[in-house]
Parts: sequence; C-alpha cells; structure tokens
Amino acid sequence: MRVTVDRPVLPLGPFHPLQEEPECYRLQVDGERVVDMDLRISYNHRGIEELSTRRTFDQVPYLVERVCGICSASHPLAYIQAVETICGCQVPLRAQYLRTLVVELERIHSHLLWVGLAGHFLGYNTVFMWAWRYREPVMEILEKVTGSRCAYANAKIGGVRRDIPNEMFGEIGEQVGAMAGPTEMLTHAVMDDPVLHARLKGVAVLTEQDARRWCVTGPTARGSGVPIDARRDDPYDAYDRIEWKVVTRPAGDVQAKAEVRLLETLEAIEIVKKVLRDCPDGEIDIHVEEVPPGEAIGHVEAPRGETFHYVRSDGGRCPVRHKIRAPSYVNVPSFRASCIGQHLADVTIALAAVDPCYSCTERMAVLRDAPGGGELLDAATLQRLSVERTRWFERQLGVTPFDARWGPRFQELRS
Amino acid sequence: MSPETTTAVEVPAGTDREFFLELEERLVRAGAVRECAARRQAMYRVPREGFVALLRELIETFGGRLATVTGVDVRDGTELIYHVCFDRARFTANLKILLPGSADQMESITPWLPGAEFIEREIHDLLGVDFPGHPRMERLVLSDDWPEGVYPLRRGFRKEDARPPSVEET
Repeated sequence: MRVTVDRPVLPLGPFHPLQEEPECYRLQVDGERVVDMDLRISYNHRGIEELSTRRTFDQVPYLVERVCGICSASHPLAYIQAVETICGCQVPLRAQYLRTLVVELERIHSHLLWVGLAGHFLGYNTVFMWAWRYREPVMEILEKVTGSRCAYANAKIGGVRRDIPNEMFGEIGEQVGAMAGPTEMLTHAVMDDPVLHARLKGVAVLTEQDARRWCVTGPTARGSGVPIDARRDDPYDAYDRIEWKVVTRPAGDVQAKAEVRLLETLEAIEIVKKVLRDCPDGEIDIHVEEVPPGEAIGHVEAPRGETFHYVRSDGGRCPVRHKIRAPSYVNVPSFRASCIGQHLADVTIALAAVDPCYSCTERMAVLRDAPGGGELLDAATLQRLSVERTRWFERQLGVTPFDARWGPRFQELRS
Repeated sequence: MSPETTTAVEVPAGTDREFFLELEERLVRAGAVRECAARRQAMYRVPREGFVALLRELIETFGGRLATVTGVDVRDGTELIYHVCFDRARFTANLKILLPGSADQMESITPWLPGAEFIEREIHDLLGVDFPGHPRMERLVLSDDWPEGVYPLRRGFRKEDARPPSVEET
C-alpha cells in the first residue's frame, strides 16, 4: 500500500469500536472512497493448534470448543468427525440426531445474533433489540439441553455425552416453533424496509467469480450464488436423513447475505422440528478404546461457514498435528474484493456482512459473600452505586443535577 | 504402495463414481500415490514437480475449492497438505507434498488464487516455508518484533528464543 498525502490510511482497530475483537483494518481512502485496504489479525493468537497436540484425544473437544464462543458446537464436531474417520467407527443413530439438534440451535442463535449486530452497525438499534430478544429463548433451550449457553461439551468421540429425555422434545419443539413467527417478521422487516434497502442493496458486492477466487464459505458464499454447504456436500450426522434445502441468493451484496441468514434461520427451525420428530431411541455413544495411526479431515457447516479440521495420529494418546481453519479465516480476506470502491460509511456494514467471529461468552456474574452466602452486589446496590456515581460527576463538572433540570418536565409528561 | 495398486481400490463411499475415477486418473498421471481413503476423502502423496500446475487444473477445470493448507514439521523436512474440496462430487482430496529440510520453498499460488494469501503468510510465519511469488509476504500471525528465523510451530522451537532482547543487549 503506497501512502500519499492525498491518500491517507485510516486505521479501524486494533481495538475496533464496534466489533469486540482485536483486529486492524487499514483503509486507504481517497476522500470518502476506500481505494485499498490491508488487514492485520492475530493480536490475540492463542496457539490452540500447538496446545491441542499436548492434550489427549478426549480432552481436545473441550479445548477446541473454546476457539469460538458461538461456534462452540461446530468446532468439536469437526474434530470429532476427523477422529472418528481415523477410527472408522459408526456413531449410534440417536447420537447423530442429538448432535444435529445442537448445531442447528447454534445456527439459529448465531444468525439472530448477526442480524442484531448488523442493525446495530447501521444505527438501526430497534433491529438489534428485537433480534437479541428473540434469540434469548434459543440460549435458554441450549442451556436446558446441554447445561450451558455456550461451550456445550455435548459431542464426544463415539457419540454424545448427555442424553436428552424424550419428554423434553415436546417442550423444545414448542419453544423453537414459537420463534418462527418473530423470525418471519424480522425477515420481512429486512426484505421490505426501504431504509434497509437503501443501506444494504448493491453495497459491497462480492461477485460469484470473486467468491470462488477467495475460497469463501457459508452464507458469504451462498449470498453470492455459490451453492456450497457442507451439510449437503459431505452430509454428516442426520443431515442426509431429513429433508431440508440450501438457501442461496445470487446478488452478492449485504442484503443478499442478510436474506440468506434469515431464511436459513427459518430452515434451521424446520430442521430442529424434524430432528425432534424423527429422533430414534437407543444408545447415545460407543466406546472408543484407542485412536489408531492415521490422518483425516472433518468439516462441519458452522453458522459462518465451513469449519475445517485436519487431525493426524501416530497411535499415541495425543494428536501429532491438528490443523484448524475457522470460516472467518477465509471469509474475512474477501473484504479486499468487496470493499474497495465503497463509501467509508458503508464499510462498517460491509465488514460486518461476513459475520466476523465474536465471542458471546459474557454473562452476568453475581458475587456472593462466602461465609454469609448473601449477594455482595445486588440490583438495588448496583443502582444506588450508579446514582451516586452520576451525582459525583455532576458535582465534579459543576452541572445542574439531572433531576433538578428535567424532573419537572418528566412529571409533566407523565401526568 | 505403488500407483498400480491404488487404482484398484474402490471409490470412497458417498462420492460420485465417475468424477472420482476421472480425478484419480489425472492424479495418478501426475505421479500421485493414494495413501489412504475413507468416507468421501482420500490422502495422496504428490511429487513436487509440476504440483502447482496440477493444483491449478484441479481448481479451475475440476471445480475444486481450496479449503486450506496444513504445514507439518516432519523428520525429513516440511510437509504441506493442500486440502481441495470437490463439493458437487462430495469428495475431499488431500494432496501432500514433502519439502526436504534444506529447501523450504514452494511456489506461491496466491497470484492466481487470492484466497491462499493468508494461509501462505501463516505457514511462512509459523514454519518458515518461503513462498516465492507471493505479493504480500508480511507478518500475519507473529508480532512485528518477533525475532527473525524463529518459527514457533517447528519441533525444535524453544520458548527462550522468542524472548524479546534484554535492555543490556539492545
């Protein structure tokens, strides 16, 4: 990138104001237009591939589900597929259905998360609040069926770790089915809203040819009319036993990617219903004694695209080499094909369009006093602290207290 | 295993038969030897000469998609495994080439396949393989102040080598 006075470089990052991950986009701009860009990642490289070779085969799934807080069912599954291929073992049918259930629930929550964030990036926070509100029941179902909202520790080599009682199926089906309405409403809101059209249509187009040249996967590829989906192209678990369809859109712009994700959410709801309907009774795992020498790959269609794992075993307790390729790794560089020539204001949503990976691991923590067992900070205390802090700022800055200025006006409005 | 015996092995379950036989024929013609095959995937050892042209043909003519490249530090040098997915035919070919220890160099494929840019930069950072012809061979995974010539995914890597120089040394 040749930097000149009339073509300065605008860094977005390494601490990105919107995307909660360290990454640095260096945008070279000519006025308001992006003319070149470079990307720097790995500010937080964790060395998981190397770490994995020091864990036993059974421990690795717990490690790789921490690659990403959102794809935490897909990464272990891709690894487990590779190991099961090396072992040549056949997983019981019930376990295959239960795995499918969890990865599809994961897809629903990840896609709704993206829709919310996309709204947030556009400054359309109503979409953000709606999407995240409708996403919440899925997190609760995931917590119910796996014990955790993320890092599910569900799949293991040879099957799944925990069974789901058949009595729960009805309840899960009802809750997931109830999401179809709000998701359809959101889909129509995105497809028919003229404001969103103005911001999304024709923005950051990734052509089919470019999608193939940049080797992109998942909704990023399917939004550009490339019909690839690991669930159909290398069917694993229950995907070749139930009917479902691959959603594609030819346009390649941000709107197309949004539509693909929303329609896939609806499709995932249907898949979950079919899985619950067809799930057979039986064993949930087989005993795998040891992993023989060999090598294999496993790929799983994670919400963002194909998660690709390669495992090599020498017959010992640990993998000799474990390569992990997350979907964002191939999707993110395609910005260079889609963002150049775009307006600066459109770049934030263009960068978000491939759903670069975030971690949704943050949850509220309640601190308890060990001897007494009482909450150290309860809601009332937190509110009191917040009010005290505001008062402190007002005194420091010498401004009129908020209540004194706006209190009467609020009273008036309320009455 | 000799090339004659590899062609006798049956088509991996689930893969499109016609496509697979055509692909296998092309690979064998390029001197590839199948090491193992399982459900919808196979591992081939491919000679280094003419590999890039072969890969280009697989991607452009056979409709392959480069999933990623794995670099492995082995006793005789460095192995690069190019994972090529043929999505329509439901098959993944893993093409393994060995770079002897003294010549860790492989022609870059980024000029005609931009999707390989990141993975080639990563392998260069972590294993020290050179990719002549790569348009932007800059640091990707390692930080800018990481010492030159220290490759963290090599077997001989010691943590002490990666320490930043002390104040006295600088």
